[in-house]
Amino acid sequence: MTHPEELLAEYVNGSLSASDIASVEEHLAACTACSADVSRARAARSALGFLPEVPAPDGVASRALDAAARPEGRPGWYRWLGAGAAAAVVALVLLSLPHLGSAPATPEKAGAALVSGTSSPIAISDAAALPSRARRVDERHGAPGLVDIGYRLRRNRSHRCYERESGHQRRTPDGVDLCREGGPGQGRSAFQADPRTVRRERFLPRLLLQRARQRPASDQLGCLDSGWPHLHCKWSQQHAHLAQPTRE
Amino acid sequence: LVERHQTRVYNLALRMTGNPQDAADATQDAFIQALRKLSGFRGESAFTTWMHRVTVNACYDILRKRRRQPMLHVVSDDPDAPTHEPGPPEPDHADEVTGSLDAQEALRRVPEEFRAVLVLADVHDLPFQEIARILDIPVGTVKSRAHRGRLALAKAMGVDPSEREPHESANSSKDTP
Repeated sequence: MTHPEELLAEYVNGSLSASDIASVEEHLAACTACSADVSRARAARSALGFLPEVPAPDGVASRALDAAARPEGRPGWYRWLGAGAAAAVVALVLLSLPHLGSAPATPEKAGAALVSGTSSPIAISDAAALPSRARRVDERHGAPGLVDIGYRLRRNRSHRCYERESGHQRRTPDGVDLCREGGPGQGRSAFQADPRTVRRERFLPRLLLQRARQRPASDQLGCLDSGWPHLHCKWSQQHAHLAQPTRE
Repeated sequence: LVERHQTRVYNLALRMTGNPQDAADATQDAFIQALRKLSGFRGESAFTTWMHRVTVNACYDILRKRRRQPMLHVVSDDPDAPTHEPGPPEPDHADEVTGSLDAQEALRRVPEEFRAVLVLADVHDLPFQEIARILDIPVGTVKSRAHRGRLALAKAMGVDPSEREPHESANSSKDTP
């Protein structure tokens, strides 16, 4: 008797048509060897299906990007990736800063500061993901509505931050609170990023504080007095100079 | 793009090599190759297929290297290195963790060509047609490697079907009413 290995593989996958299933089962009824093999194969497939998905280690992707961008004597698209990343950050800043008209820094400078001024710059891969993530939800400056300044940060976690006059609690797709309304900073939720989710990223506090500087004093630094003590401690120490009102 | 693929690529490499350090190396190698040829791709699905292929090849390369330098096969002893394996079983899932460790260990005993098919088919749940494209082999070969690979894995895991009869799975038996 020939044993229909290929059909058995598909049978175990559950991808056979009804007529093929019937013929395989007819064979199985007559062939104890194949019948036992199907049980074994099912057990194997099932065991493999239970292997957990493991997060990729930090830095694998950025190391690969760095290595791919290392000069090999020929220019490639990746040479432009850094510039593209900087442009993406500038675009994000523009999108998320509707009040930029009176900003002390030009948008380009603000963007450059975000990229080059950080001691631990965001990975290119992070920035490269920005354009697709950042979008202005409400075009009208100052009007109630959402300004979505979503980002995708390291470790494949998406973080989103919304500003809304009325304030709404927002969660990332994986359920992490990033911005919340409520508390002393109600309605300024763009400033209320939960540092537990982002404190390893210099990018976000800089962005938020850049923005905070451009607000009237009464309205600024929601993140520093938002009622989240850990945020106050961490960020006000690290970024206190940024939080000073500008001389202009 | 890299972020979208990195978990899948890393997990493929992890299951192929059975070692987090090798998996990270293979992932990095695969991305370097992929990114250098990125401009040649039209459409995400072609890229995904190819990404899988370069990952499998990167794993073969690393496994080959390891065979040549068995002494260098070091289990990570860097205390700062993130741990990628499931680690100590969590109380609620002790059985599952034990089972998965067995499956991972058993995978390493399956010949590489079969292992690649098994990981793609049963860990990543890709259809045979897609696996045939990834590995650039006929789909019939994929199916037969899947079947034989599963049997080899079951053997390495010590699965004894005689303990399981009659069929335990709902759609496995026509005798089940």
